[in-house]
Amino acid sequence: MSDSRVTQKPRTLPDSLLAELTHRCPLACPYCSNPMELKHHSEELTTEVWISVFRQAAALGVLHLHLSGGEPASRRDLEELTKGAQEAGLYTNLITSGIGLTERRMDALAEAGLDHVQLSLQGVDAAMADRIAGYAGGLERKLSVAAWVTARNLPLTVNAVCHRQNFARLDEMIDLAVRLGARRLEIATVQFHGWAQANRNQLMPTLEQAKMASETVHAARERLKGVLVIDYVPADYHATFPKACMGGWGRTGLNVDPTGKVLPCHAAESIQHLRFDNVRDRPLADIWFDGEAFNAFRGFDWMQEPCRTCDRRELDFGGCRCQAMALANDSAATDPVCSRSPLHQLIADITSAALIADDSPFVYRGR
Amino acid sequence: MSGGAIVEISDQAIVRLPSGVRLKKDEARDRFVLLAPERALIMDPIGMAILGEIDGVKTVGQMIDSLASAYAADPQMIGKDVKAFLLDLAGRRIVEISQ
Repeated sequence: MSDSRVTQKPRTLPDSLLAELTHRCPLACPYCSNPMELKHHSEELTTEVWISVFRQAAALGVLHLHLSGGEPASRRDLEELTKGAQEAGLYTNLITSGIGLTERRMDALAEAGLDHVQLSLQGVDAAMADRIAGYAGGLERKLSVAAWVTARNLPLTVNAVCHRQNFARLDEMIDLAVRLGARRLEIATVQFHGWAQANRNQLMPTLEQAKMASETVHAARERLKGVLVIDYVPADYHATFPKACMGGWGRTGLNVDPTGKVLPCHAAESIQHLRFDNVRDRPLADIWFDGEAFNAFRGFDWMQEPCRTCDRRELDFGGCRCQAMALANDSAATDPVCSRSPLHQLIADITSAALIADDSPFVYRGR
Repeated sequence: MSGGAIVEISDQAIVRLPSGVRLKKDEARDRFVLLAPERALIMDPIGMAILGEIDGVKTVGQMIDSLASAYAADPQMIGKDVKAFLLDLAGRRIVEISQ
């Protein structure tokens, strides 16, 4: 092993694992974070392999496990997987649309040791929520699921993805989260990768909306301190500096897709020249320390100017690699969202194009 | 649920860890962490000592007395630290306080 490879090893261990148990989902949200090429049921990892991944993750230093999808409840072995995760010592979080859960399954999940439930809401009224999700009757079902969660004394997070079409009712979403007894609300502005990229003009918030949302969140945090914890992902297209995506590439987390492929982030496959290892072929720790994809953007040697000599390189790590790929067609470029990027004008072009209301129908995920 | 933000903690208050919050030995990094939804708080020895007093029965005043005698320290000083620690965690819904 060469010295340079050793020095590329991260100083940090991963603290979270996102397990995309399946890409199957009854919903069809037009900003789904799954890749455009969804993996088929028959390619999914077995129960035993997933549980082995959980044990390996715990041994490697992972603390939080996020059971996600698609819709994780589409896996009939979700309860067994939860038990396996709990036995591995992981703090186990279920990220769900709620569809596919029943009171009986919720009992079994609580019994298996589930620690936390994160429930997505696409809007505050059925007309909006069900249209965005592409699923009639969805909101009503979700509200029942929220009650089942709190009745079992499990902590509830409401996860609200926000965009041009529902930002105006952000205040009502905050009130709804409190009414449902959520301890935490995650307000995430749509990130424009994959499906969301295909629906960008319908979803891109205006600058006004982005400003208003930040003010609303700030006020609600003050008002609801000790009642509701609010985590907020602002619209990066309207920011001056890019977000430190994933807290830096290959520094804090891992994502395992339904087939066992290990990704530094859920969108990483959009960087087509990277080669991703699979848990079927290689131990998770080897993939984290020595995997080609994980080492591709660690450290600072891969950076171009202006990142390479930038005083912010340890704060935002050059921004999002997938966004650099999508917008600059170069995965090592400065994220064009950064005001110091030579391609920053692209962002102004995109956001001003989005000022014209686009009512064309969504490209729904998987339909 | 309380109607609004908690601003101070009385000596009679009772503290408990809510469901979904638990202490864990982080073997890989050789430290203790308090795990909560989407949060992992690294616990230093002071934090550990305070957490060790939380049993859902003892009042905050009793917790402070117990720590003051264990560490042979001024209860007033200890009390300030304990209350600041608990208030911070309560603001993030990581502990529950009933006044």
